Amino acid sequence: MGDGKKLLSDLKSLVDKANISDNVYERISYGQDSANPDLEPEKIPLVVVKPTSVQEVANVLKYANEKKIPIYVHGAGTAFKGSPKPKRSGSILLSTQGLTSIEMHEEDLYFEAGAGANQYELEKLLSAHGYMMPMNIGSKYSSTIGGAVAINTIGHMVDICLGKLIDHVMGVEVVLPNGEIIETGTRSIRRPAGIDYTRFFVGSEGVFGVITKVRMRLLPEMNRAYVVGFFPDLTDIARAFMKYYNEKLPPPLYGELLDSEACEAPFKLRGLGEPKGDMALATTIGYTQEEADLKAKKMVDVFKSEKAIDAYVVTSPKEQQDFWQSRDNILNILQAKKGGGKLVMTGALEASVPLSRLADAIDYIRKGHSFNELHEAKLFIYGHVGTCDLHGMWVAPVDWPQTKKMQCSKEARLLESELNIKWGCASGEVGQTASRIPFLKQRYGEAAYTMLMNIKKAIDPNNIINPGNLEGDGYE
Amino acid sequence: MNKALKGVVPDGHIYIKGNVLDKGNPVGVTQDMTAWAKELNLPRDAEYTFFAGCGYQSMKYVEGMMGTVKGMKRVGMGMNKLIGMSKAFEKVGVDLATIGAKVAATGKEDPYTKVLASTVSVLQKIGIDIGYMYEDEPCCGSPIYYSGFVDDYRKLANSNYKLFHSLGVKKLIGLIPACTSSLRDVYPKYIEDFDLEVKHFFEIVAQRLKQKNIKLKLKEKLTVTYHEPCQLSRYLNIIDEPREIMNSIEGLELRDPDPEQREKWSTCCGGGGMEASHPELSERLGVRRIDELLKTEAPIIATNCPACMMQLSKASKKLKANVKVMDVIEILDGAL
Amino acid sequence: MNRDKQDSEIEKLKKEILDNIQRCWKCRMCVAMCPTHEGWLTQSAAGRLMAINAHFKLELGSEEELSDLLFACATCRRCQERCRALSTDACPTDTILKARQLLIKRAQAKKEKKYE
Repeated sequence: MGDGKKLLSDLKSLVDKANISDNVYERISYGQDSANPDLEPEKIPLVVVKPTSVQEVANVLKYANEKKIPIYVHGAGTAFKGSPKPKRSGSILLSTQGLTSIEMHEEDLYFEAGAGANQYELEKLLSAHGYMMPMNIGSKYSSTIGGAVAINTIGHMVDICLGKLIDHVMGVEVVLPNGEIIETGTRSIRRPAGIDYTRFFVGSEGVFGVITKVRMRLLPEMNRAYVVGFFPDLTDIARAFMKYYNEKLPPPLYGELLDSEACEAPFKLRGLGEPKGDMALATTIGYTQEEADLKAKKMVDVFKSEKAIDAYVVTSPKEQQDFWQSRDNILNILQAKKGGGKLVMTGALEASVPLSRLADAIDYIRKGHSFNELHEAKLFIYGHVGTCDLHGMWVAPVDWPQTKKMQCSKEARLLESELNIKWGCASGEVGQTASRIPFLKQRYGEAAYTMLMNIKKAIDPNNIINPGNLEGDGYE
Repeated sequence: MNKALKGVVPDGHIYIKGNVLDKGNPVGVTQDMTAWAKELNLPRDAEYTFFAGCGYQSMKYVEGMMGTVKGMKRVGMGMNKLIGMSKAFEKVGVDLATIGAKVAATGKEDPYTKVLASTVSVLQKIGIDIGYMYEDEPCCGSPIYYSGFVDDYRKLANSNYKLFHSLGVKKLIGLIPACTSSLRDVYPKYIEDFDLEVKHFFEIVAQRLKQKNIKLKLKEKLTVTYHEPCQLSRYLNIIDEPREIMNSIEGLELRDPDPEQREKWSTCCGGGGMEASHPELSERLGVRRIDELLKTEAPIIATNCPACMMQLSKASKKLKANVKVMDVIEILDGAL
Repeated sequence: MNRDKQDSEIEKLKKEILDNIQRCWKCRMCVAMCPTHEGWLTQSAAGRLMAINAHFKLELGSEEELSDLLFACATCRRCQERCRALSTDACPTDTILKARQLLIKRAQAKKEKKYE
């Protein structure tokens, strides 16, 4: 347990004092995340720093490495599988939200952004110049580009449509655990074949270094067409997408599903009436509007052939926005008044499955398991069916005893693990560390895990960056 | 009791509570503030009672006090320093508000009570007969509700309710958004069998303009941007009416800020209580909001709340911006 | 006021506040909406709610520090509007106002106890 006062005064010589806070409530706020309820007081970070330059980040890391002080790195701290929360006491919480520069290089088809640049602000800026973000996640209003690159996530988007985030990253600027600054990759749209240090850090979940800047290709905006379908059952939606792909049709940009009960609260909020069934949404893209429309029509045909109660191309922008937001603002579900009392999320699942198993996976989440608390809580199923990634959310009244809620949360993790392992997959949206370490060990085996820990030891011998995340502390 | 609250509630809020409960308005003015309505000769009894609220009536005293104190070479006067000085003056038997009023009276026309006169004018022009309680009008108490003095608020609300009944008040037309939302939405929570009808000025006016198909036309063209007060858009949920009215005024060009900074997302200007505890922060909020509104390049910023008007005027002066801050109602009055 | 009634009112208000804060998912969508946000989490509804929880449930931090945080809120409801549109409708502004009420009730009860 370090000495807070000494730490604070040392940091003042490394970082502008306007970028440091030791206010107790500030430290508590940064020391909490959505995955876990209340925090353990002894693990509250000693100080929060928000460097505004890569040099300040390097100064902090060099210092922490020398003094063997743990550092926890946040973009916006919105990852909800347990990685943002400090696992060891006496830590420094380093937020990259002070690194917000954005530079466009249209002549070379790329842009550079500080790791702390807000995803939604970036999206608006790119859109104003005729480009689109190569990712779209529900938390974009709060989250940073650095966090997304560290997890290599594209959120809702279909991986095989435009590629995963790494396919758009041309290079990164990283500060290593010992404080050295390195720059990786290229400024050419042809990225290095063979060894490209970029790949060591994109998707590293912050355990190998602190990403301070990213260079990403500029992706021109495309024409879009929108489809909605209402089905008698989620498994019909799954079969529709299985069929769509089996007919060798080009992947849509988005393929989403939301069960009818989950639709109720968000529909009510937007005046959409009662949902006609379980909802499927798709967005197709094309260089021309005709191309996008053709793909959309094919999607409607497939929907109709798989028992859709109603399926059509959405032409009203407001209607599309309302449907999309009902699916995107998933937390609206917790506004539902059914069952009396207020609701809280007690368990969450996110699993990727092989295409042929989409329908089976839905049945498995619903009834293929024997976890008691999960069966007692209320289940909502939603997710990125178009990229074979399903979400389950279990909600319960706020009055459930804390132990019961924790048990429910644990069971959801176990079920998620089971589902991923069952058909040889791994979750495709939010990372594999912290709460998912038991899964990682089980799925890929001890030899692979030992290799991972050896790599970590080689790059971060004092284990100062996000310690506990690779060990799965707190999630045994 | 105040000692117990030290450190728990900011000094400024405790001072304001004292003023509301002892002097009947948050600023602590003891003189009659209803001079603006004297020549209007409004009846005390009518179908609708106009609730003017303390804000517009006391603003000149606030500015006068700040001016007086500034004149004593204490620059950068924040509300909390002002409060400190007020207390110090009280101790030696001098009422700062009175001095302030004298200073204010020698200055130019009070832009705030002008709004009240315009409001009455509009209501009369569209055929709504209103009464006014003059010096009997109480403070609605909303500042102490937001400070968290809920027990004092309950007492005040109930005593106001008895007063309204005793004066035969049945329907209130509120002007200041915070007062109106307090009377309309919070009073029923703390008063049993609350039976007064409370409407905001815009609700009545928008309805009446449509009903009677009244044409609105300005003598001179105006380009305006509109700042929704937080209490109007997010507490009273009155968003469409003011815009409908402004869009129907011939000769008025309405320019909007960014969609995420207007209507129900309108950015707070920092007025309405924060100046009493965090004056520098309050000033920064005002400057940030003015910056957003200046992007529309409209020479006039229209709003309808005394706190917003003061905050935005102050901020625009600080930035030396070439804009005029005024109340929508004055524009409406000029269009009838 | 009757001592027991006062205490039970305080406990009731505290439970109401803490139960409601459990509905905050810390999604942080409110942060960019807060007009007082100048780079730090405590300058947002999420931070203020976490502070209220830490103070009343876990007894961390002082009354003065919490009060400063809570009264720096403009009570403009922009966060509440945002939470309703994009998230769980945890009513953050109403919760902050209730927390102000709780601070005052608690301070008044403490003062009265001193004279017993």
